[in-house]
Amino acid sequence: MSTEPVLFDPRLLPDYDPSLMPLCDGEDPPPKETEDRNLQRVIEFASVYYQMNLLAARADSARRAGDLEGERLALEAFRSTSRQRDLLEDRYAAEGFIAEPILKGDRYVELIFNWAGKRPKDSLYSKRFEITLEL
Amino acid sequence: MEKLLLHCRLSPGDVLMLTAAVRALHEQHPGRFVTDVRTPCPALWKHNPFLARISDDDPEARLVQCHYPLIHQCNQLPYHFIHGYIRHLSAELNIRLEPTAFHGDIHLGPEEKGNPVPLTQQLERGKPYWIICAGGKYDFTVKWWHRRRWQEVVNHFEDRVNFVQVGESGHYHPPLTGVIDLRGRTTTRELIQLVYHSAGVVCPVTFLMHLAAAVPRPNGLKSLRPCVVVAGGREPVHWEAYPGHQFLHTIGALPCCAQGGCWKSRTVPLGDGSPHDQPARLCERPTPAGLPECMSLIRPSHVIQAIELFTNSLSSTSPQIYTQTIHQS
Repeated sequence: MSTEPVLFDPRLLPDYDPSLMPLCDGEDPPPKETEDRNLQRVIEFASVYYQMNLLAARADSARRAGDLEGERLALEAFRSTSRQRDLLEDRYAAEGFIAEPILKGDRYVELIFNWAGKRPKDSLYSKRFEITLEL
Repeated sequence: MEKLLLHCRLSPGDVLMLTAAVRALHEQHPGRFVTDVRTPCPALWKHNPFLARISDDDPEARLVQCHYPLIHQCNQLPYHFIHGYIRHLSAELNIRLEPTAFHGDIHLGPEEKGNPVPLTQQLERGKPYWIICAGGKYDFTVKWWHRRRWQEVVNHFEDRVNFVQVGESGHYHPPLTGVIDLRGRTTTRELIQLVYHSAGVVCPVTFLMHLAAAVPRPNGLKSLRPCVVVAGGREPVHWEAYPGHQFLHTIGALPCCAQGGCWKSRTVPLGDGSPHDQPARLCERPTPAGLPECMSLIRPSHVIQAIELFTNSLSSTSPQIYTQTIHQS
């Protein structure tokens, strides 16, 4: 099975729109540079759902503007991306990695993840802070 | 009377098998033992008539750690899982003990039998439903079937069968569409109640399979509860299969399970630090799609056919298929 990421992380794109990025277990997606295998997969799924949100928004804009061809192309691209999502699900099925989308209106607003060893209430990635006490 | 405190720290399916041993103990040796248990699943013992309260510090109580070492011979000897704890208890107590029924021992209270199924408001009242479990724990991923295959089964019965999907939170239970989703939303008692009122069960080799046999049928029904098990080649059939279950397996059909169940843990390593990732515990024949070959050989059409044996209400003269071996085409 290939381990190549399906999609480029959209946060690296100049026209990235944060409003289209679904939350991941209630938080922003993990840092781009993460080396954790599971968090990299979280980014993969977040990226593919971002793309689906983007294409749904494009189709909606085209429809409202009366641009039938633009709408058709956006919906075609949406279907293609949803197939990529299916491939991603299949790629990680044997490992039990699940991304369950929450749809609100026509937008995927959040993804709920599960994988081996993940505790249900775990934060996706740990937060570290330090304080200095003067004694 | 001898006081016994039976300890078992294993999974719910294992504890359910222990209920059969306690039943056998009291039915074959009435009045000789007072029994209490310490297990991770107290809900399985609710309403059990064979238990009596024994405190942990009771000096008269004998503590028995319950095991089933018989499993190490299950590929060679003609025993079912139900014999496991019974044989062990028989040896520990130096008594003769045999199974008294071919299922675990679950009891329901009147409120559980009489009330409608919990959490299933979406169900049409009075319309039969099947319970579906499309995954399992992360320790034995070789038991999993592919989510799209489960979905194909559900889709096939779209107009005829209501499916209620169950599964424990934190385990692998991919969401299915066209089902009533109760994943992570049932307590053990609610699951038992759900099984009690169900028309059938379809699942891998898992706790739910044991429940399908152990939970009585409503209204005094004597017929066996329909259950279709997608089993593959991990466990020997005679060790796991219950009467009336359609047990879809590949034992004897592949080199890796030619002489019995392979008892492997995982299809691919999960990288979670678990000993189940060790090479010796990994499937020898994973397919490119990430399924063990034994599970891949079981097609949605096989499962559909097995369910239809029940849903089509075949006449009583039709042969009952006890197990079905899937062969390579």
